[in-house]
Amino acid sequence: MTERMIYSVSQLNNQIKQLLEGELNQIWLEGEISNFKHHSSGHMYFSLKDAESEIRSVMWRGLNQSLRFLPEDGLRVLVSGDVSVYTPRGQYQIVVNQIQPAGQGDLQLAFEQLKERLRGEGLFDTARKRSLPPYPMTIGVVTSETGAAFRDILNVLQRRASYVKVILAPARVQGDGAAQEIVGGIERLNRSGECDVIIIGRGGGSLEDLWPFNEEIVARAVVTSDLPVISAVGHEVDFSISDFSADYRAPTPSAAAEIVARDTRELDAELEGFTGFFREKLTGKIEQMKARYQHLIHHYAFKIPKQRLLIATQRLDEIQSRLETTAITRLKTVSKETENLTQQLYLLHPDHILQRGYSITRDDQGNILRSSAELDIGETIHTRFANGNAQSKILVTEESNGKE
Amino acid sequence: MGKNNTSEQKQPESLESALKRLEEIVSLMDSESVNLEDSIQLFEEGMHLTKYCREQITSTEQRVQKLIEDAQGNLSLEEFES
Repeated sequence: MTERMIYSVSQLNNQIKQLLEGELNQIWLEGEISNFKHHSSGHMYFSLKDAESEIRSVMWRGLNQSLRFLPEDGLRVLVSGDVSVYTPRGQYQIVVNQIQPAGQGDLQLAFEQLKERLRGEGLFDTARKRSLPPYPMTIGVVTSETGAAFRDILNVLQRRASYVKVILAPARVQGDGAAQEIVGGIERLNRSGECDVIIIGRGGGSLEDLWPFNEEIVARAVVTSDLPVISAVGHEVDFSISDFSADYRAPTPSAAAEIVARDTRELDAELEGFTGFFREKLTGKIEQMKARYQHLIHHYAFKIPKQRLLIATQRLDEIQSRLETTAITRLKTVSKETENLTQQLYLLHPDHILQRGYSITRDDQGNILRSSAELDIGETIHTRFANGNAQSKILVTEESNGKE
Repeated sequence: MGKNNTSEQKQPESLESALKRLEEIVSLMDSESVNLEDSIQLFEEGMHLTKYCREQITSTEQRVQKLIEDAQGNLSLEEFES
């Protein structure tokens, strides 16, 4: 006769615990997260399931704090952990000590998650982005003092725009604490009041290396910076979160240096264009003036001081030839004189004189009549007034001694 | 008579403002109504500004400085030794 063995519930659960625990340690398990809860205690509770079955899972706070992505319902994950029994409830569960997204890296996922979150907040909106200053004279750079990125930037600027001053705010650009240093660099450059624009960046590397530029605090520091920020991280193909939140994304640090400042040679050519234009325009004005004098010389009916006109023309030639020497003061005096002369000439213009009540009288051949002695009785004469003409016949002629 | 005293041109604020003013001078000189005296005035200003711009972008030596923050949070600049 065998005595029946009667367990208490606790005894049974403890027995099961002893049987199970230690048997299924450090196993790898793949499944889909459901019922995910990030408890206020910091622990994470969730289930892992496949098509037919599920298992309770827990990840303690101390281990989940260093996760860079956020576990969420529906996410397929690969976990490693120990199977254990929670005796108060008679539940077995897997205590997770590592978790990673299945089929992609955790950094990749963290990147996508943060990108979507910040995009949703409007941090990447084009409308929010500031335009870069067209002619910056001082450029702030946040990068490693010894890195290739800074060397590249200096080289490009030295070659293309050596007039630009560069201020480095040194920061480590990989590893723990790098993101904080980058944020500090951006803040200090803003506070210094020395720069027109900021470049943040580093050379190429693994996603892990580039990670500081994918951190939220960097993305936000870029957005809150008063100065416009150019993000230049890694190689052409690498995108970082700071690229999205920056005012401008350059594919490489060298490329950032290329676009940030205007090329000296380009500016030189532009200035050359200006001076050429100014010379041409002023010369044009002078030519116009000379043409006016030529007109006066050739077409005025009244006697005008030709000698003075010739002098004026000559002076304009002189102005023109002096344009190259920028003997401006002299130039201005001459211009003043010529303007005065023009005014005087204007007063002598026949039209102006006719306005004052004089008229011009010609014979049938168009010769100007200057004396009554030139007239025959009965001859037709032609008189021009300011606003019209008349024909008349001579009735009487009389001579005076030339005085009225 | 301040107009006659333009040989003393005032210094532009920046390369940017100088270039902007140069653009303005271009359109002013381009207009038909401007007379010879004004043209000369504008010419003079334009030449002064281009000279200023040239000085701004003419530098043989690249200047590189490092921004340092001390324990009290004060910022200072020191020459960068590569």
